[in-house]
Amino acid sequence: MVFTSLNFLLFFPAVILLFYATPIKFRWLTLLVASYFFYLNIEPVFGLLTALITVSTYSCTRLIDKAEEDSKKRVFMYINIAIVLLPLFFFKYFIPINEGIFDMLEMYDMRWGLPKISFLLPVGISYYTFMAIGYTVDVYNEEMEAEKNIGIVALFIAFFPLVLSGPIERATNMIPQFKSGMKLDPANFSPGLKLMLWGYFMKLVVADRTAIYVDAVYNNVALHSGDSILLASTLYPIQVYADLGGYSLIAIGVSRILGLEVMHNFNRPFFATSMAVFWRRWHISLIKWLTDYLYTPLAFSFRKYGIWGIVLALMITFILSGIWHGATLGFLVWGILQGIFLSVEALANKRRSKLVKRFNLKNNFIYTVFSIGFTFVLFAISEVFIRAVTIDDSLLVFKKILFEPGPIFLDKTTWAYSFIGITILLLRDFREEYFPEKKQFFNSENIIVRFGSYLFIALTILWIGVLNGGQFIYFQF
Amino acid sequence: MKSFIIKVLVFVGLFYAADFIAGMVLGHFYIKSKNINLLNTNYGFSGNVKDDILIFGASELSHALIPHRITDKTGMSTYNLACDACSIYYQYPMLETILEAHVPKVIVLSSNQMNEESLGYVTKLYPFYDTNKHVKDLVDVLLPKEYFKLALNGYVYNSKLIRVFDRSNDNRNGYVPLHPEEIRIDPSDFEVLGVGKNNPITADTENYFRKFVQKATAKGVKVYVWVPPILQKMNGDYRAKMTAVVETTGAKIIDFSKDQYFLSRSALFFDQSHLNDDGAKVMTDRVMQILKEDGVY
Repeated sequence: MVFTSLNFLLFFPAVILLFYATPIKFRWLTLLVASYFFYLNIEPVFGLLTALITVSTYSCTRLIDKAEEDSKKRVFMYINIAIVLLPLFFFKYFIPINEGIFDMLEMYDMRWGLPKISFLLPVGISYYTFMAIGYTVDVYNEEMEAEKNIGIVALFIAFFPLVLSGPIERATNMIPQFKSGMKLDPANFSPGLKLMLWGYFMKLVVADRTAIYVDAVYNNVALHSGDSILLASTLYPIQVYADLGGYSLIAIGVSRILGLEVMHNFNRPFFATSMAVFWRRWHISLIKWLTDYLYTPLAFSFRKYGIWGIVLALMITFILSGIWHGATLGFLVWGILQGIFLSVEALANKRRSKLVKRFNLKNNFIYTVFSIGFTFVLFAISEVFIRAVTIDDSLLVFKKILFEPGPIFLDKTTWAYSFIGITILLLRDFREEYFPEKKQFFNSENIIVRFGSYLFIALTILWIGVLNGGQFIYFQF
Repeated sequence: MKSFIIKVLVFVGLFYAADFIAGMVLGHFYIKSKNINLLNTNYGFSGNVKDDILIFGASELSHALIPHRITDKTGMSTYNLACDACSIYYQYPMLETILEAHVPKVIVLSSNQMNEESLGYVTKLYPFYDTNKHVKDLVDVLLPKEYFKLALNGYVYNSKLIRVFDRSNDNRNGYVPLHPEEIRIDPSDFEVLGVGKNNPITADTENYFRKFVQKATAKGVKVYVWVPPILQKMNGDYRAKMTAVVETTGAKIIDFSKDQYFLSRSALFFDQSHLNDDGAKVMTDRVMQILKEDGVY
């Protein structure tokens, strides 16, 4: 079950009714049952995995709490990290490694004795694995006590709004909320619904519509001109932002209606003026997780190397982030590029600050526009390696953009709908970035403006959103 | 809480009213649209189809047979009702609608209709859901959940807003030429045939394909199942099932899938599965030759 399905639109109101019909003391149980129903609805066998991770995490965190010596605590922490990482490695990396071995052996006319195995990747495995690891480390660091109720731990790991695509929440934020007696508060309904409405707009009007153009071009790179590929490559980061950003907003809105506060995942990333700022605004929950559990300990370990220690920590963090996204060479290159961009910025930071101060560039319009544009271009370049699937395709993309310009392939209707969606999205982000108190729509004090904006967005979703996926995939003909 | 519920109800009421009014306005223009993509559908469901030769299929056929070329030579009025990505679920209610008022002499049906499982494009039928019994029957059987969604006009006309008012039209009695200068084909495609589509053939697809051919032949229509020349290998299962249906109904297969005249001339193709305008002229002449040999004209 996904947020954009009709099933979810029936499931969620039913959950709300059940949730509020349940005595406060047992509301966590209602949410747990709903979460497993939601997750098992995708593939029943996946529920075994969340259950396994729950049991392991619960047991190990309890043992960490009870152990008196730090060495023992550390052993239990590592045991749990190993146990919860094992399925992630198996499901995510077994097939590519296995196929890599097959291909390598075949190059030398050798045959592997075992057959090729294929299976479905359990949806959301990366997200709940990271949440389980974070919780374990937090207990080890004594930032929180191990939860005594296994049901609450199970709910934290499988909580339905977050289980598929995050945000990657922290136990320190979620577990106290699950235990605090979730009360009916109508004040949460309106902001929750607004977040959901905007999330659906981003996902269905912007992301899914833009995907039609991007897919049409990227699925036939060899047949498209460099200019068409450049346009698709420019649109792709916007598509990803609207896709994951929209999905996150729906998750946050759903949680809010249930009375739970969840961290935001995106903060107007395309108005970032440097890569460092960009990464504080893009997939915030993942970056915060990587910063707290990977980058900071690494940077601390490498502190004797000064600025080069930071560079090393950045490179390792982003290479691992790339591999987390997927087990392909493209994701590895993506991670290396992010590491390089951030490292260069870190190394040039002092000089840049001096220049900004000397020429008073901080509020300079041209400098700001240039910085925003340059940051976007760097990110878009790295995203080519993710979207193009293989390295050969990525290189072909750059070759075509640089040396084979030509007429731009445009489907009028898809382009027009995409343009409407992207314009509304970027204008809203622009207003939030520079004029947060002005021209409010969803939060306007004028009821006509407020209701008018809800209606406009809801009707836009209904009339031009991609509601059944792929209805115009064939448009290039 | 009470105030919140009232606001939600007001919003739902306004939303439904706005959607209803917008749907009424768009529905008015939709039927009259001159858009290249909507024209064939509107004509097929208009109840005014009186042509002697009708052509049903998806893009491989909408760009392959030229009606006015056939009419000029045979004197028989012809309309190419094929439309991009439309599956047998689209063709069948259209055939039933046409047969209510008129029996054509010849129907050419693309064999791809057996191989293309494309429920997604049933959305093209939604504007006719309330007014056409055959469309309603099919949608209710195949997509029962759509009944609830179709209560909203925005869903019925989803993503059709711009097309309705886009009058750019290269449509000639249903034929949409693909211009030879826009070729999107790699010469190497002609050396080794691509893997080709291997869609699973569902019982529904097979059933509607059979019903289509049976319905037409039972009315005395001469049905030709046209196998396109494409630069891809053919799914054996699909060929066997399609042949079995044709053999039991008295229809006739006209097979260009191994026709070396086409398969050796890249200049006749737009891409791997579509002929360009030059290819369409050759194909139209070849099909007319077959009709002549069969005594159709």
